[in-house]
Amino acid sequence: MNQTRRRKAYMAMAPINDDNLPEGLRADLHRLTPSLPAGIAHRERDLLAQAHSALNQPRGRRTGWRWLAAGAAVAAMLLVAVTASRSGGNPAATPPAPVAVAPKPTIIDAMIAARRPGVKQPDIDQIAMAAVSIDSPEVH
Amino acid sequence: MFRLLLACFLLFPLWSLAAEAPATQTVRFETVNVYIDSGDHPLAAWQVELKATQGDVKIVGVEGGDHRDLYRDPPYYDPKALTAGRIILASYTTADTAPKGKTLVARVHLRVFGDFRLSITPMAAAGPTGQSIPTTASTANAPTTSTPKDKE
Repeated sequence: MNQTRRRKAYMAMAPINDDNLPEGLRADLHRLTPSLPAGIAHRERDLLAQAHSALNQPRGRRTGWRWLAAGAAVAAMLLVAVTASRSGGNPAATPPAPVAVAPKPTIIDAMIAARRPGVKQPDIDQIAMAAVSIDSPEVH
Repeated sequence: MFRLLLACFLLFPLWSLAAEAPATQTVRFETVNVYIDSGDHPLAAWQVELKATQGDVKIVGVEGGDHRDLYRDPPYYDPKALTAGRIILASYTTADTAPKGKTLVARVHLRVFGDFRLSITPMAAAGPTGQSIPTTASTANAPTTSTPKDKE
């Protein structure tokens, strides 16, 4: 019965740690166990170093590759979008650039050239032959 | 049986010749006169397209128009059009008095095989100052479809 009361009284006490110890007891405890804080600190440093190497370094590599892949995907999507917007939605249907084609002369051009002073007959014939050529596009 | 086969063998060439005889058509040469009708406008420059729309037609020669008119010399044409079924003819004059009305401007020689039909289309015509004038083109001596320029 007495042991039960003592146990209950012990459990009702505040937990003992380094802060709520009396000053004299804390000094005695540190004097009696001088190596405890240094061991705890050394162990904490090891744990922190292992955690840093286990978490940060491999995760950093994976994150780098993921950023690179995501950037490449975004660049590809932008390229496709720009190409599609320029071609009206179909990259294969890009119309060729219009080529300036000189209009085919007619015999009227040759007659006007013949009436102009200083124009030589070979030049007039060249205009007339261009007008009657059956290879060049027809002009009606 | 042998006599029947021999008779068929001997008669087959005669039958084949008789079958080909009606399909044989002769090649002939035709001349087609080309006219331009400019109405009241003087015709200082003209250009027409003449092409075969039906039949086996080859253009083999081009000569000028009526000697009474100014277009007595052969008109301009592409030599590649010879032995073809399409040709563009054109000519001009710098004379002060260009012909009016219906004018014979050219004569075209054709090599024809069987029935044929031509189509003529005026492409350009102008008066002495270079202004465009309305014209109609036609041919003689050949079945021709005259196509106005506006309907091209």
